[in-house]
Amino acid sequence: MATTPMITVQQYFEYLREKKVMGAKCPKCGNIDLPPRRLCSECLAESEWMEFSGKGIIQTFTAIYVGAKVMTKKGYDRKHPYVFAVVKMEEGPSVSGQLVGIDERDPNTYYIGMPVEATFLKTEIRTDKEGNPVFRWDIGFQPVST
Amino acid sequence: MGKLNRRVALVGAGMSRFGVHYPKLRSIDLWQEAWLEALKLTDKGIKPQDIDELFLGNFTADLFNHQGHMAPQMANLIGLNPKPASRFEGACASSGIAFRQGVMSIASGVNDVVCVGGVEQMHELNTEGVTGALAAAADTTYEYYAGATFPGLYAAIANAHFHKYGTTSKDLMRIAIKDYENGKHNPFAQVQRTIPEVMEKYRKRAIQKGQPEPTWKDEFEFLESSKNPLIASPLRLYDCSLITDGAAMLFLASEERAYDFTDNPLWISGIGQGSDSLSLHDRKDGIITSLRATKAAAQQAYSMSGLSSKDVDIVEVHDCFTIAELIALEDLGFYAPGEAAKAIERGETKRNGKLPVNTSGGLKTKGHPVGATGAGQIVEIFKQMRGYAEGERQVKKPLKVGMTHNLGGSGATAVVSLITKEKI
Repeated sequence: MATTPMITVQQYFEYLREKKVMGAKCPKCGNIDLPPRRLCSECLAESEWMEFSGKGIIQTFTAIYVGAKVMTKKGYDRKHPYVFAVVKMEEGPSVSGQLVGIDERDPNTYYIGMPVEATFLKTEIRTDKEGNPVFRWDIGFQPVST
Repeated sequence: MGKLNRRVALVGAGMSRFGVHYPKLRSIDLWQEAWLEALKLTDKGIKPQDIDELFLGNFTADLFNHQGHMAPQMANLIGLNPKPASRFEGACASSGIAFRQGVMSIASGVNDVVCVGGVEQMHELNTEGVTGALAAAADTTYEYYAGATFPGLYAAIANAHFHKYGTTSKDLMRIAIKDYENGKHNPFAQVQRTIPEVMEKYRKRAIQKGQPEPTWKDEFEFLESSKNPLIASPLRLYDCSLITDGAAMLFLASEERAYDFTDNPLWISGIGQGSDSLSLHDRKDGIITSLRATKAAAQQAYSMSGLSSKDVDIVEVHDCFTIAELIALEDLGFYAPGEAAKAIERGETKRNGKLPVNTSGGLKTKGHPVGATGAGQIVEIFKQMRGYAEGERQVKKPLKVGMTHNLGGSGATAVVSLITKEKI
């Protein structure tokens, strides 16, 4: 029987790489955390992994015109903003992510309360010894597909 | 618990001019300038041998200037070695935290007289570099790769506030217009120009260049124009604070020693500090239209002093962005949630209003050398309460109780102080 991996930041990222949104659920008080925490944010008991549906609604957002370096490297600039969103997941907790699949320059295409679903976004963070890119995977969001 | 074991007096305060100083002036120079300015406003003078310890606020000279270990270096410049000197870091609340530690060190009896200061030299990096260094105050693990920037995080707070309470960009513009008007009268401010004066500058420049003359009918039209570009919607350039080099310094003393330095000490009657999650998404119960750390810090300061928001005559709040000023006024208890915008529209927060807010010009015009900001706010309250505020900036009504509110990050650290004319 495979042992369950410990709840760590790296393991959360590994699950994102596998396109799974894994949060944590406390066996003692039932509280749910995303991003996951080993210690429950309510009672500090040791939590267990829990898979999320990936669905949620936009809690708040902003279109960023003067961007973080990680985004300007991807080609976003003052003329092509990207959207940063905080999404309240249907399981309860909220998480930050880039909103894609909308027209960033048209504020009518995204709004507070909009239903969204998780998507998985990769960023090149460095290159390995052979010069191959090494990626990091993050949770992002897109409009719910109909 | 929650009380100071003995009284703590503010006996002197001063700051360097805040501005774009690098490379002409660096931290070392700005810190010495702050000493000279603080000496000027310490009536009977103060000597290094009077001072027991240095509490220094600095966010990240490590990233801005590749300089760590700054407290002994700054202590050396003002003759304090070999006395204890420590640096405190809480992002933009660094010198607010240092101030609270200095106060507690006197209240506990460990020290009789201390120097509290803050310094930051940001212009050694370009704007992208500064933005990157500041981003270290947000949650690098979970927010940064989602694209968060500081304007972005406060913009997200603003959109949530707009959605919940019907606040508008125009409400935020009124805050910027008021703060620029105050900064105009502060000779230590980075920008000493009102919004109408900025408009006039653009108008003249257009005429000189033979371009069509701008036809803004008022400040609001200008602030909606391309001259005020979006940084992170809904926040535009004039909603944001500045990148600044500067230093500020304060002298604190026990009641027994206070009168050695001045016949008119002010008293630190209440002080509090709060914390919260670094990331916005982790805030308790998903509340992001209000900052829990500010509320906790204010509650401690009010309870320690026995004062309430109704007693406060003047306040410097942490307006890193216009929306932060508005939310602070609600979290500090001056207005109910969603009500501050109406009070601002009525003019209550202007210099001659019921509650003057950010008479210094705030972080938006006085400037925001992050690690020096908290101490700089106390310099303004000291000047106002002692009648030293320069020119028109001096508030006319009697000022018995002053408050400062200093934030770190998107609200993960907050420090609130209540400074009084009378002993409480």
